[in-house]
Amino acid sequence: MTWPTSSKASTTNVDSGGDTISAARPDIKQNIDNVNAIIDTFDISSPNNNDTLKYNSTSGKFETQAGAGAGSTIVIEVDATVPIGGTSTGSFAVYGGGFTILGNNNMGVTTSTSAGKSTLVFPAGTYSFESIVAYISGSYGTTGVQQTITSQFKDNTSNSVLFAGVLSSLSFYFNQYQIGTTATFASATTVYLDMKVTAGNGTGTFAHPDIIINRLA
Amino acid sequence: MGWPTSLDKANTTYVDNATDPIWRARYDIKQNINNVNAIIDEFNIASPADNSVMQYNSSTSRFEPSQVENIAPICLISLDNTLPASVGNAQTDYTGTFTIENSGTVNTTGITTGSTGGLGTIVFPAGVYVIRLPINQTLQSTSITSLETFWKTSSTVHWSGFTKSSGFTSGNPFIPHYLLGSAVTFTETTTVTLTHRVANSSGGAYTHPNLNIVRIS
Repeated sequence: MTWPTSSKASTTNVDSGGDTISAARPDIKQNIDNVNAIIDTFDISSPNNNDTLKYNSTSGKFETQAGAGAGSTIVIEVDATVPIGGTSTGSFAVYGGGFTILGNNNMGVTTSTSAGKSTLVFPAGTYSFESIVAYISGSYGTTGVQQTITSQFKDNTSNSVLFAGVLSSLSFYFNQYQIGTTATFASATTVYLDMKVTAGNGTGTFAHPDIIINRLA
Repeated sequence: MGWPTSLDKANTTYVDNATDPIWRARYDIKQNINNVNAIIDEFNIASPADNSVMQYNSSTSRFEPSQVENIAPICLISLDNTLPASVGNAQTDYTGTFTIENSGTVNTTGITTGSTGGLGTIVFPAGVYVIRLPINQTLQSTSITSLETFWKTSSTVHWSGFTKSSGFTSGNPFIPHYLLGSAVTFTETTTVTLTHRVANSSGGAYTHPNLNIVRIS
């Protein structure tokens, strides 16, 4: 059914005490149809405090969603760890371990795979990217423990670098890795991750911190 | 009442033909009136403003106009009391209180604070949350050498803060960073308390920064 904007019942035969109810039959039916259309337009089952109504094009109904505004921020979990030193030849390794999206995700970002690459697909728009927490590697007095992390988030079509993680040296024994940038995609863009993680001792694995994504436009 | 289901919808069998005796539709007319009244009761659309969204208020059990659509669901929580240095490096329960700094209509996360059993509490509705500090905390200017926080329900730790040193200076043997950042999913309403461990070379206490909590689902 559709919202009954143009099919409102007339009250001509029900607006006076002398009206005969039988004459109002078509309008009574129209009103029943309209109410049924209204019922079908919403799915308001068990709402919680602060829920809002949002349209779902799949169900064709307005449905409750948790908390106003929730959904303009998502978290990307990088599901698999990366071997440290596994790319000691100096080449980048395409990440294929999968991504998980947390959050209502009203911005429409999706995950996929392409020729062994784990990808994130962004609708056209402007986004900010941040590490959920800085990653500091190293141990005082122990050489080779700090990791050199190079990450590149690349366009799956052109292979150009869209944005990259930032590695900074905090002191002789310590490095800090984090992401903090914005990017604008003029059209839907598929992004994959290239990484190179090395350390002097060449052992262990690197778990990439979660990535917070806000859609800005 | 509650939103009418498909089973509540009135039948039009006795109002869809000009020769229908209208008295036979009495049951459906009454049902339709009941449905309209239920729909009326579901909404309180008094004086909506431009850009209002309909948001559920569990106190009134109605959807009401709200202006919070463009406000991110963020909750800023301060610790009203400091974290004292631990004795013998033992974990210490936080017996102070928490305050929501953006209380009122701009806190759309549904998070509340309180106390139970002498412990300060943060109560989360079921949902997914990103929990961070406003800024990476360097403890170099303090005499604190190690700080750990455990945010938990009973013995289940939901997220934690930890210290990572990053260097060496002559005046302070290590430059400790206090790091906290996590994405947490609660499948039901969850009450969280804080236990901490502060290593402080000269006693005293640590003033914990605000928690920046974003609800993403």
